[in-house]
Amino acid sequence: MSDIQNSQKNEQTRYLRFSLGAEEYAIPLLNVKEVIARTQTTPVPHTPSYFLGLMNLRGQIISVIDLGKKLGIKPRESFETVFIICELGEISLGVMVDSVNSVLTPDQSQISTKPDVETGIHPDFITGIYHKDSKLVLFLDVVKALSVEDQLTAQKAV
Amino acid sequence: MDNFELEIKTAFLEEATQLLADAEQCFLNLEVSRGDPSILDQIFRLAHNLKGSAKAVGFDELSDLTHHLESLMLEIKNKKLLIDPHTIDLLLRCNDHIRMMIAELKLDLRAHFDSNFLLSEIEELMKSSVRETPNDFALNVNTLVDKARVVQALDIKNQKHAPTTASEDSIRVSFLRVEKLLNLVGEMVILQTLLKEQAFQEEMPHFRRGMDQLGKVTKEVQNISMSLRMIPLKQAFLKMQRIIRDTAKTLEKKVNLEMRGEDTEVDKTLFERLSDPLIHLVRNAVDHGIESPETRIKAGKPEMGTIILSAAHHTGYLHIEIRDDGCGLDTARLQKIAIERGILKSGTILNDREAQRLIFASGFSTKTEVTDISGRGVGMDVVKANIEQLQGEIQIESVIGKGSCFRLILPLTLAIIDGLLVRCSSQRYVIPLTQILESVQIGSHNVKFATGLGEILLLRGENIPLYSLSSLLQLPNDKKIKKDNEGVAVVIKTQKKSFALRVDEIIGQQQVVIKALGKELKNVKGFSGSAILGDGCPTLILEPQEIVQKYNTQSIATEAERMVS
Repeated sequence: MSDIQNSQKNEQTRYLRFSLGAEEYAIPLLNVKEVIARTQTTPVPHTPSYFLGLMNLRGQIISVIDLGKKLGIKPRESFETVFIICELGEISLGVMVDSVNSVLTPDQSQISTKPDVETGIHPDFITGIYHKDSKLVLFLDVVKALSVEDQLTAQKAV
Repeated sequence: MDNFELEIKTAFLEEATQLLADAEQCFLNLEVSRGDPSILDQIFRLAHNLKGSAKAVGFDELSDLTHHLESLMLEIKNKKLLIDPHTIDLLLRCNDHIRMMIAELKLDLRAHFDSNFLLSEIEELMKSSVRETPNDFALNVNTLVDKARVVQALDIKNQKHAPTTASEDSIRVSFLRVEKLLNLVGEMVILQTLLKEQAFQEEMPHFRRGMDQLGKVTKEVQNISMSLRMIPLKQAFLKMQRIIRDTAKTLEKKVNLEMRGEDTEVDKTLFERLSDPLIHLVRNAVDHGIESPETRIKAGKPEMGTIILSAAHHTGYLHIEIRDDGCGLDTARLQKIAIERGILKSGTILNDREAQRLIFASGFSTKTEVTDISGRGVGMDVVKANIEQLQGEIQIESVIGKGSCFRLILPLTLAIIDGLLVRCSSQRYVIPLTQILESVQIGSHNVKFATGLGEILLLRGENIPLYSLSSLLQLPNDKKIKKDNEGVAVVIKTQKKSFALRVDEIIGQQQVVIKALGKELKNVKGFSGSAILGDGCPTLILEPQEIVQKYNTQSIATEAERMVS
């Protein structure tokens, strides 16, 4: 079941809107545990380049992923980066983004499905598009966008 | 299935596991005590509880079987049925079957089972009991009366049940929550240390006194929260009781088990990994240690053999002993077999101690025939490896004809290790101290390079391969490091060939709390976990052997060459 169908049932689904480069994305607020300022991370050898490293969240060790790099988004010159700590089932993950903007509570009518674009990238992780003040906000399926386990498994097979 | 249903079913399965462990203990006690009514009452209550809860959450197959079991117990309680080994056996088998069902249900809540073979056995046994009592009516009355008594007993079960299962008031807490608490406590200790350093610079007596107090409280909190991970060995020992019983029965030996220090507490993770080696040692004690009743009588020993399981804390270590009064290790025979099997060169002379340790050689077995219980020659080497994995060791004391004692010496916890903190490029890593033989300063006199072999460390006449940690881990090269004459070689202890890792610097020796890496990293090899250093930064704990095996491949070497050229 996709997130759109999910949210049709519950019209009050809220999203956290954030920036990556010049683009805007949003993820379901229910996946978000907290947002913290960027802290020190320890790199882990033999992991993909978007794997930023390990951080210490009050005694818990959490892996942090550079979402911009993962999605191949051109980085913006900025010092203000934040970690969004996501809870995805049993896994807690830090996601580095450029900045966190606001919480969205979109009306279902404002969300359109993604256009069929012929690209090399498989945009499975985009679940919908929302127009806000002439800006596009793309809704992300966090688990698919990060596909952490797949990626690391693939890394191992190489 | 909705959430609520899922939740109550999961809760039931947890509860059932506990009930089954209690029940098994009762069955075993029943055999020894020959039908102590209080034990019968307890089993009956357990079966009844299980039946009720299983029905309530909708595991009908389970409740059906427990219902029959309950009826059987009632017969025994009313002395319509004798408690003979056969009955106990059936009860234990039912217990095993239910345990299997619970285990399956844990994996799949919709699992189905065929329990008919047990049901028919129970029925048969019950029929035989009915035949023994000529008056059917009397039986029914008896049953009715007893049911009434049982209902009465169940009404007060809340008061009565508690003391039988646990001597202290306790609550069940998920391990995950304990872990979370430990994480936070660890963080608190770090913060407290930071604040304490500040306090020394301030001229505020109240602040400093407050900090001192906080330090003491923090220490206390840390101790208590660490102790939450500890569980008594009792459950593991009780499991051994069952294994000894079954093994002894198969081998037609008579064995009595004594347990000492079963309340000794061990870390939960250690506890889980101790079970297999213990089972093996206990089986061996029955199979190889204790002699058959005839042999024992001939040797002037009591017919009944004795195995003593004991546990105690000794100076920061846990000692577990498995002692039997059997035949002891025949060192001459061990050596003979080792030579026959090609484990030992003929003509080698070993002292008793060395000869006894031959049993740990892989492929060694004194049995000429393979049985269900032992004799395949896999075993003691695995036990030894298991124990060493837990950072422990095995000692043997054995006197021929008098008996043997296997002593396991283990750390109290696996949560904390002594590590060597090293720096490599700009990164810090922890190498477990137990894996390190020694470390040597690298210089042109002791490190030579040979094309095709790589770097070789010359150490007291030995040639040890030296791998650079930074190239194994593909760390960015630190330009400041000159090629040959700097850094430290850390010599790693291994079962086979030793090797050394080149690091830039040794920062120091440190105790660290091991934290597991997340599931997202399960495919990344070479790291056994992570730890948080005193400054709050995470660091990786290295698994040196795995790193070399995994990353020291030809492909990496060629890649490095390409990068250089």
